[in-house]
Amino acid sequence: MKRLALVLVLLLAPATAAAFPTGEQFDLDALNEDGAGGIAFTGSPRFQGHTCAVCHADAPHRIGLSLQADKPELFTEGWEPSTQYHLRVVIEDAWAASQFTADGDRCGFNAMPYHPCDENGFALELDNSRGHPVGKLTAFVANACATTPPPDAGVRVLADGSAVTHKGTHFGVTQWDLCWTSPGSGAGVITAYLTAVDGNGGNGTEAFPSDTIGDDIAEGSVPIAEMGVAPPRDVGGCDAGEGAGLGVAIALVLVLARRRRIAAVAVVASLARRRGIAALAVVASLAGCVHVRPRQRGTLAQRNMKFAPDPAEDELDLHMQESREGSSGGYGSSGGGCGCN
Amino acid sequence: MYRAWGLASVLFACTTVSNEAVPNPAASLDETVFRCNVEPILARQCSYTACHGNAGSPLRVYTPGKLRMHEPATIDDAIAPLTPEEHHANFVSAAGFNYGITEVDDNWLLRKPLPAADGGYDHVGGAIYLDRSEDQYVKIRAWLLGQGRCPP
Repeated sequence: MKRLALVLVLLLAPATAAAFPTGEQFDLDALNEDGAGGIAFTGSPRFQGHTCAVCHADAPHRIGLSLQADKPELFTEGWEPSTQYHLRVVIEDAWAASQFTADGDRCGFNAMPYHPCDENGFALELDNSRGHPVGKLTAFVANACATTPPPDAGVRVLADGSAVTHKGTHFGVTQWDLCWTSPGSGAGVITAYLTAVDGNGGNGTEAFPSDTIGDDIAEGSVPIAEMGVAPPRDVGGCDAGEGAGLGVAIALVLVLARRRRIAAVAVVASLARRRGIAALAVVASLAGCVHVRPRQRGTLAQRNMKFAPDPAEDELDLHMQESREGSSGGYGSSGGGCGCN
Repeated sequence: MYRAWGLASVLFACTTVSNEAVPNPAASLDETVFRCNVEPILARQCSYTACHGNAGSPLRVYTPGKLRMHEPATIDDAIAPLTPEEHHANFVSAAGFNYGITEVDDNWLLRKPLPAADGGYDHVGGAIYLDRSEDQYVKIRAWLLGQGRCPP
């Protein structure tokens, strides 16, 4: 297999692990089946930033998440049009049910006596600046990209091709390989939205081999510039330069420092050789935008953060005040006060 | 003596207070239309366990694999199809948001999940509708107005 060169670490805000142990469930109906109706919970804008956290609550967020590519320049210089990339999603420092990781598929109902499986999952999509998925996602099987993967492939592409998730055919898995063919030129900055669950094996009994309790999750996004194209100041309609891009850049450095792999060295060498382009890429990442998660909007969405959250309630309050005090006005309209009318 | 008169006056005054009956919000809404047009939206968009698939949420949505009316003993119980009682409970929960509503667009099922620019607010899960023309919004609004029809 090709040596993968790193790079990106995303980070991670709280969320929970999958109630969807199989990839097919993301496409199943949400009302009549145990499904999500086509929602992949990647954290992308088209899903309102929703991630695995919509079910897997109270995660400790001890795990990390990285997105790696066979062509390291994807993250340093940008994506090349109509190019096939071999990507790898990796859960770093997985801990939940890690005592069963080595068992692989020899767990659950495949083992006697029953013991839980280390069941993990992920979801990934790559969107353009308008929030639309771009490029083509396929499985990576037997060292090749597979448009029609075998049944036991590790990943599954959603029916509409917009995202890729774990397939759930194997256990003890903390990394998944896939292929992404970039779109034609002109798509601009593409953002990878990624989320993952480190499952703890349900409640430990065969009654519930999987659930949403006690799992760990990670999530994050990273903008990828189009090679040779200066990224716009405002990406995806969000504010630029509020620290998220910096966070990504720092994470990149940390990962490079931590992992003394040839691939990482290759990235550094590449940076040195192409200092100018690399600087541009780093600047681009520093100017990355911040996608405010729904839960982060919670505070701003509080009623007390608005001057007049409910006009009808204000009207009632004014009416009571007028009755009680025999005066009116003073709330934005002209006139008001005792004896002023 | 004065205290007794005062107390009597207060009690007499209290007897003049009355509570006007408010129409049952569910009575004016069509449960069949809810089942075919609205419940699928709530299940797909809202039913996740950290969201409205939570018994403590005012809008509480039962779906297979997530929140169930009765604590499931096994995962097979958890993912079993909804019971008629659960479907009806979903209807009642959603219909409750029509309590005291005189202007349909003020119903929180419609208003809260709108973008702020369209009057939405207070929804921790963010803006679910793109705008007031989105199909989901239109279907729920039609149901609230008694105008929805199930597909043939």
